[in-house]
Amino acid sequence: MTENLLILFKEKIFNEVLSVAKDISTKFQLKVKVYTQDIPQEELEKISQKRDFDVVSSAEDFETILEKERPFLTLLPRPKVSPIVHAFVKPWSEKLVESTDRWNFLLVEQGMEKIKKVLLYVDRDTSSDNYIRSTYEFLKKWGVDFEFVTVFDERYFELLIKKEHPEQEAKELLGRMFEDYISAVREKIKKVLQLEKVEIIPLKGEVRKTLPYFARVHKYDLLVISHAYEDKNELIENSETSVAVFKN
Amino acid sequence: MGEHHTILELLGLNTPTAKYWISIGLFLATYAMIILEKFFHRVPAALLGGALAIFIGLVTPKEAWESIDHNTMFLLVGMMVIVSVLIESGFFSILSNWALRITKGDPLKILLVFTFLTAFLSAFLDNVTTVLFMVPILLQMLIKLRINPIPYVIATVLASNIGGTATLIGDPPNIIIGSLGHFTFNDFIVNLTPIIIITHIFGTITFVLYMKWRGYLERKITDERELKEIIEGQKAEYDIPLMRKGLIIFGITLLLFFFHHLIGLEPGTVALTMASILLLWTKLNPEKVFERVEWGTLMFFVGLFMVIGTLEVTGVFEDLAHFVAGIVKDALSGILIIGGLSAIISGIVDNIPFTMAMSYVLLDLQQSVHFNVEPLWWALALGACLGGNLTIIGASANVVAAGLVEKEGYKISFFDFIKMGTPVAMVTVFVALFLLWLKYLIFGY
Repeated sequence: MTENLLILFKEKIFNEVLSVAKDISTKFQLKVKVYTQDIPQEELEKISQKRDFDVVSSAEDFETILEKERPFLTLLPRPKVSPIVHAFVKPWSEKLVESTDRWNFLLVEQGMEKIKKVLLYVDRDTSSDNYIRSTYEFLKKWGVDFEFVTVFDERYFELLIKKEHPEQEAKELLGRMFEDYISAVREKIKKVLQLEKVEIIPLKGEVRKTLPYFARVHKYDLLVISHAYEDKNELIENSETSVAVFKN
Repeated sequence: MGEHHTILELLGLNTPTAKYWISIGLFLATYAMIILEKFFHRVPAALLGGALAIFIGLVTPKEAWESIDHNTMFLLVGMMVIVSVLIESGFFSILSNWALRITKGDPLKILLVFTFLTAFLSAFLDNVTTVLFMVPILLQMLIKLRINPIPYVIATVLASNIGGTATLIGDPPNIIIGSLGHFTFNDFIVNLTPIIIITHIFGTITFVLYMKWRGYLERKITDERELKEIIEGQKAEYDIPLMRKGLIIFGITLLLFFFHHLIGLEPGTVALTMASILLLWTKLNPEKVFERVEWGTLMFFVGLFMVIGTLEVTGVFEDLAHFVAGIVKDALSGILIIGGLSAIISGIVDNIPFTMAMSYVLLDLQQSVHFNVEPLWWALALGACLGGNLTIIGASANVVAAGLVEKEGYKISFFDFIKMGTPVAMVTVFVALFLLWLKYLIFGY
């Protein structure tokens, strides 16, 4: 089976997902298939008329469709909701991404017609060589501006070190741990991608909070993470940008 | 084992009369130290007062310990932990950004929105909980707008004490009155809520006029473009899963507060239990969460409770209450006397022990006088709750707010509070008692 790009819609069509799919499919020469549920026929016809996509209305659940199609990448819409509402109402697309780690997903944030600026998250312990390589190659081929980012979670060490060392010494110790961590991530990327030099954005804090906040404040369009990151679900929930989740 | 003597015994001052006057002296000295905050921090001042009462033998350690109201302490710790988790989740930052957008950064709108919301919430929540919830949002917002938050925080606390008077569960004195006077939730709604709605309007007019006169309602950022940038550029760092857990526990806590009489649990027990469940559920490092708990405020309460407990042990409160009862000739004059005096005394001492002492006096009075004493219970509720606005130590919520403000590098001094609190307390007490008096004059008993 040839690799393709899949779009899943339920109840509503999001044009921004179609735009992003068009952009990726053109760059990668991929065929796009749109699977829908509970969407009126006339809406589906509009997609077929506007885009050169195969549109299928299916009663099968999305997990079965994914299993059958085995896509290279699946695009899903992510409706914009206020964070307080989001705490109690989770979109179906997020639930789908949370439920499996077998496929590459791209959750397209409502209102994001074009993705230009991307953050690629790599950590020292969970990011596999395969994840680093595949995401790097994907973003390069897509032609978007992307930067590596990593986060050092110092909270765990902070209390421990501050208890056992005087303030200045604890500060220096934490500073050294931070430098060591960043350098380890940088070396990992260099080794996997066989690059001589790697620029990386170093952040401090709790990944699931710090990373989405950084992306929001610095107006990134997309955040790329791996399924292996243990707080994947929390990070997706906390993001207000589009999020791509790749196999590790 | 040798026989132990207290310092008062060694000095030959172990008589009830001597203890009575020494307890008053100790109370006044502690109070003076609290007022003279330029020289003394209020926390060690209150703690020293409480510790000295034990040290010289005015009360036993057991009596001092028992005078600390465990319900208030548990409520404070529990709610502070829950609020701390909600702060960590970014919930207050989101609310503050939302409030910024709807008020468009206009100081008067901010004041009105916050005081109205606070008064409304206080009617159904403990005042301390409301203040712990509202003040962090207000502080974050005003700091962004470069506005001095102190008058706004004081206005919010005043609104909280006014709103709390409206229902049985709004303020601890009302819980005591409801319990000892056998009044239901509906009795409070019928007798106090309409009065408090009107009183709140008068209270609002008073602090708005005061703030306008002092120039506190002026914008600090006059450039519309800069203001727009601030309002629209606010990004909150939040954690939705943590917020979900925090809000679920907060919601259950509020629900249990509503029904705590039915299930026989004190609000403090509810708050402490729910806070512990939240800590376990979120797996947050407790030490990090406890960093946001206002330990200074808690220790201040410990000291204050011990000092005031001493007045109770030596019989000062009882005498005070009997004195008040002695000058009450009929229900209508009683409204003004009980209400007015309760307000003044509640502004000086914590209103919880006073309301308790006064409630027992009213129970006695019920048996010995020829008139219906029900109006006096309502006068006590109005006086004790609204009188809490007279000074910074008049109500628990005032002290908690001062602690929250201090964490942001500001300070509410004793006199800062009096300047705004006293006029508002005077107007609201007068309006509320007048309306109560009018109600009984027109409709009879």
